[in-house]
Amino acid sequence: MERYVDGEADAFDLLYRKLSPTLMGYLLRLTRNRARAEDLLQITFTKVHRARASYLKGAPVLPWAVAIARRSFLDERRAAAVRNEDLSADGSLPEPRAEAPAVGAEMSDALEIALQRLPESYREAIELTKITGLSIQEAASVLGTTETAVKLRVHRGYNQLRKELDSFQRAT
Amino acid sequence: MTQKDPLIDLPWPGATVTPSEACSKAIRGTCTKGLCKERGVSAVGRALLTLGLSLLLLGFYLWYAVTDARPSAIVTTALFGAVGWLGAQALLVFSTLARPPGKRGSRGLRLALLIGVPIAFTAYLALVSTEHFSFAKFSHGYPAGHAIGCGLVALFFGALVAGGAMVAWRRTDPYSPGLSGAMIGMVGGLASGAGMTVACPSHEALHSCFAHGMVVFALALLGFGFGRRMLAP
Repeated sequence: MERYVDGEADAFDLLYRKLSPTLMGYLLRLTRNRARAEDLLQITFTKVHRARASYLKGAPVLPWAVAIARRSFLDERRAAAVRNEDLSADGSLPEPRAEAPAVGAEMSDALEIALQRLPESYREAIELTKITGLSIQEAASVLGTTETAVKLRVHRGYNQLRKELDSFQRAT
Repeated sequence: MTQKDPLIDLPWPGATVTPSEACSKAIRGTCTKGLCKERGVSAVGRALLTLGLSLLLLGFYLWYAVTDARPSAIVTTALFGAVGWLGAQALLVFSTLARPPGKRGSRGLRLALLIGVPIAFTAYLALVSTEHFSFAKFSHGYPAGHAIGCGLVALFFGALVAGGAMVAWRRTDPYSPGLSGAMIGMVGGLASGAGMTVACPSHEALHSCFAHGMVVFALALLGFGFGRRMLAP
């Protein structure tokens, strides 16, 4: 990041190679739509580019970029709610409905479905810590909450996931 | 003993997804076009700029008090207090804003500061006041008009300091821009509220609390709103 701020294009390529797969994965999980995730990835990197002079030395780059990506997603969702386009009845972006797992389906599919069924706050906390790989402290910063709240959300989310997966295992 | 992850055995989905070539090309095109060195001011530089604005405002209020021939003993006493609050502003700026985002102290601590400091400042104003009117006397006629005028002046100059500081800290906090904005607003309010004790001829308790003290609360609230827009990248 420091070298990118200094104007080295090679440093941007390196930064992009390191950040973009994680950010794309994160955005794809938030939007569940590849085209929308790519749009948001472009917006996120444009914001990173514009804010590079304001990047304060010592700030961890991945959580910084994830926070920008999350804010871009929330802004887009808010704008879409105002435009009233492509929305479901409750005003949120449509998401693929989590179907009940078919008997014999893979455990990974069941986990994916169980994750989708979690309340948004639990899902976000689990995805940031378990899948994106942020620490509890970094996830708390990104979500704008306390470490204790993140731990609590992860714990409650885990319990709910465990229940869903247990019922899946019993069914199979 | 560290607690074992109860779901460690599960096949978690992959964290990474490669964006399409077209998307990557577009991003590279945008982010490397005319790329040049663009290093902004350091966090310490921004902090000093913020405190410099506060000092400038205090200097202005002092100049006004001297040219308006306020009694020097009163001005000196008020000046000591204002300098003390400038020190408090320095502590606030360096302990919260001047650190990289994500390391600016817990949310709880910053919320406690945002509530506690304005209350402490208002209590200070009430304690150092030399006159005490009843609320009925304060809320009518000249005292009320003077309080409104004083409050508006304090709000205007505090907003100038907070606005300047907001520009200095622009796009630096993607995590909690609202809280950082409120902190900047509070610093602007403290600069103006404490400076007004030097410039204002009234040393009445209700006047000080309402006209000078409320500015801190008002600017912290305004800073929260503006910070969300200006401080996020």
